[in-house]
Amino acid sequence: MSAFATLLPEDADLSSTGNTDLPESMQLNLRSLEHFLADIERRAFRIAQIALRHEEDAFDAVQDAMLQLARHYSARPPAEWKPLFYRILENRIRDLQRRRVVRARVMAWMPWRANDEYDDDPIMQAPDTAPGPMAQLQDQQLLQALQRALRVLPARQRQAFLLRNLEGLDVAGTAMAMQCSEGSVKTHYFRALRALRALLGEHVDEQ
Amino acid sequence: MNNEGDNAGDGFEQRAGAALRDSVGQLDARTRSRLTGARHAALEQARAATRFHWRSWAPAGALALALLVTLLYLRPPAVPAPPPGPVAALDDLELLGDAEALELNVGPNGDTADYDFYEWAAAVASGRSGI
Repeated sequence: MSAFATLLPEDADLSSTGNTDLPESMQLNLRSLEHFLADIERRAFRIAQIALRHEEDAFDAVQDAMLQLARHYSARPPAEWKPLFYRILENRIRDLQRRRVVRARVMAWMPWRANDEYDDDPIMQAPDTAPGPMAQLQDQQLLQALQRALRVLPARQRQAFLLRNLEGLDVAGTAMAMQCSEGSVKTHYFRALRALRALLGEHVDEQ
Repeated sequence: MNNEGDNAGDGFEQRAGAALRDSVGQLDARTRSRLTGARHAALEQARAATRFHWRSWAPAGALALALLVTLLYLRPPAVPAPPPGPVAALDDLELLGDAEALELNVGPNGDTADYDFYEWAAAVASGRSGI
């Protein structure tokens, strides 16, 4: 799937090419879809990266989610795209996690194989998610501690926290993405917040 | 939902959210470029699917519409069935009412009466049969 990816400038705009044979309404829909994906792709990548702890897997998950949304749900109302996209993304994340578990079990039977990148401690092996100059040391430390803490949360709590806090989805949209009730979203979110505060201790008290 | 410690929770929530959003802006150029490529690949899929559906179903839809209009235009006008006359309706009622009267036509042995025989017998009795 990674073969699809090519290095393109971030501002590359191909939306105006190849659409002239379609009705105006369909062209508008495709342009809306492009704006939507351009807005969401980085946050989605970050969410996938936190969940999967692996940059390549995160990229594959995001790419698959984009393709599925574009193929099967582009005709849906734009207001539904975000919850649908994150529902697809979470399914892909779970698929990749299951695949990793199976792979680990298979690899356990082949000790002569070299260790792969998944063998390291999953908590300590945190890919550098913030390259470049650091604005403030405290914020950077908080980010790294936060990412480590998010990785130990149950999947549903992590999902609720990231969708509400990072993506900015409201309760209704989060419920649609998680395919649960709004009450469940609030419960998952509250529990995530409580667990993170307990895990991050000193960072909570800092102002 | 438990609101205990809300103030500390709100401050932590805001800081956590801000830190996560800042980290999004710090993705390296290679990752951003790959995401752009993935986005365009997905859009190309969407264009291809949209174009396929438009080209497949637009002429078929137009043909179906033309056939429907033709059928509606050429359909013979429906001829309403004649309403049942008042005499026919009364006959029906009489038949229904006379259903029990049929029992009088049954003979002592259960066989039905032979009206032709009775007429002939009556004619003989009155001397009309010529016998």
